Order: sequence, then structure tokens, then C-alpha cells
Amino acid sequence: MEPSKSKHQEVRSMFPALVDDELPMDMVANLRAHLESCAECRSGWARYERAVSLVRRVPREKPPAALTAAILRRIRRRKSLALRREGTLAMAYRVPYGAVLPIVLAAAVGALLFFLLTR
Amino acid sequence: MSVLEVQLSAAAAEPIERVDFEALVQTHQDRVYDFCVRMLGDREEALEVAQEIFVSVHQALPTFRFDSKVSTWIYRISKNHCLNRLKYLERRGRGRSDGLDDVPEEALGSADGAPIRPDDALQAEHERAMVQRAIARLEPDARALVALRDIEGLSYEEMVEITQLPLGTVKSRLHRAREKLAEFLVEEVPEGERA
Repeated sequence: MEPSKSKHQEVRSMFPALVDDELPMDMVANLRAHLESCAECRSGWARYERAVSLVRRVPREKPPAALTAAILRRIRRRKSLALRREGTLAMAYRVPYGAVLPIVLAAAVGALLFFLLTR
Repeated sequence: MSVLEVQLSAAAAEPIERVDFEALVQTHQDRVYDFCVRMLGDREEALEVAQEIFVSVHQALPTFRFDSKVSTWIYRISKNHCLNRLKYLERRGRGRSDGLDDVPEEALGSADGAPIRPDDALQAEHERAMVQRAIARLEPDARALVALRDIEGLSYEEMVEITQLPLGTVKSRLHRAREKLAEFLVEEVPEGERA
């Protein structure tokens, strides 16, 4: 008798655990027995296992040796830009005490004189 | 917890300048770059995004609470950067500069430095290009799952932390992604040569 569609789906749902060696031995044995007898599941498993093993053995990409230096340079540039921006803000809002103080003093003396003379 | 993580943990209350950021970059840059290459399918883009990722890591380091591994946290930042970059590239009509069909110099030598036979090198390069083309056809989220599990070799627990998805969802989406990948890899084989 042909295995039902739900049996195929059940078997397929176990492929991830099988490929990751996470199935208990008795389930592995059952699954292998089914794969032996079912051409559809067997070919599905062969494709699945091939895909995973091809991806797993693909060689790692190595970054260029200058990557660390480039990252650190970028971070230093960001920091100095942030400092410069802070400096610009401070300049924009800085009170020029040297120029303002004599004006304030003169205004205060003037106001005092005006008050005394008009009393 | 790695030595670096202990060092980082101890320095968490200290100014960021005290943390050996250069050591952190050197520890994680290879995996970050490799992950970016898998996600973006382009070495130049990967190089650019890897730099942006470490700038983000540097910015966010003072707020890192050590409730996960540093590597997991960096992968989470990397995944988000790559997904954003893919969206950006799609919006502006992606133009690849250094596609992965080019053979990197390292691919022509074996990992231990011993010379390898040209046939083996060619076969390995053919497989690498084929796998990368198949990965590039996956949806970005599916691509991230395959890259994290089958290339970077992370555990499901780490993937849950990185993707912020429930374990069952991670497993079922990874399974679907692998099935898609298997289909794409079959399509890579000329029709007459398929089993």
C-alpha cells in the first residue's frame, strides 16, 4: 500500500532534526526504514541533505586585512565630527562676557545716575 | 563567558574608551563580514555594511546589558543592518560591484596553506558560486536563518535571540528555507544531469 500524503509530510517535518542529529535512535531507525521503502521521501531527503551539506561546507569569506583599521578610523572620524558639532554649538550659544559686561555696567551706572538726578 | 566578555562586563560601568574595542572588532569581524557577504551577495557592500555595523556596536556598547552573548548581540545588529541595506538596495535598483562570481584569491589555496589541485579548487569554487546564487534567491529573512544556522553554525537558542522569534517559528521557517534552497540547488544542475 502507498504511504499516505500525511505520512510523507510527517516524514519531511523530521528532516531538520535528522540533518541536525537531534532525533532519538529509535526514530532515526524508523525514519530510515521509511526512506528505504518510499521513493518520494527518499528523493526529498537526498535533496534536503545535499542542500544543507553544500551550504555547511561552503568556505568562509575572509575580510580584507585593512577592515579593523577602516572601522577604527570611521569611529574616530565620527567622534571628532561629534566634538566639532558640540564645539560649534557652544560657540553659537557662548555669551561674549568681555563685550557685554562693560555695556551692562554702563547701563547700570546710567540708570543709577538717572534715578538720583530725577529724585 | 569569553575573556573579552568578562573584560567588557567589568568595563560596563566605565567609560567606553576603557573597553578594548579594537580587540572586540578583531574577535568578531570575520564572522560579521562573512554573514554580510551571505546576506548581501556582494563583497564591497559587505565591507561597507560591516563597518557600519561596528560603528553601531560602538555607539550601543554603553547600553549593552550583558543579558546575551556579545556575539549574539552583534549578529542581531548585523542582521538588522543587512536587512535595511537590502531594502535600500532594492529601492534604488541594486547594482552589484564585486559579485561573488569572481574567484577570491584565498579560494585558490587550501585553508592550511598547502597547494591544492586545480580541479579541486575549481570544483570548490563552482560549488561556492552555486550555493551563493541559491542563497541569493531566498527571501532576506529566510537567507538570514540559513546563514546563521548552516554557515555561521549558531544554536537555535542564539537564533531565537537574534531574530526575536519563537523557537518553533525559527525551526519551521528554517525548514522551509532549506527546502526552497534544495529546489534552487536542483535548478542549478543542468536538466540532463539531474538525479
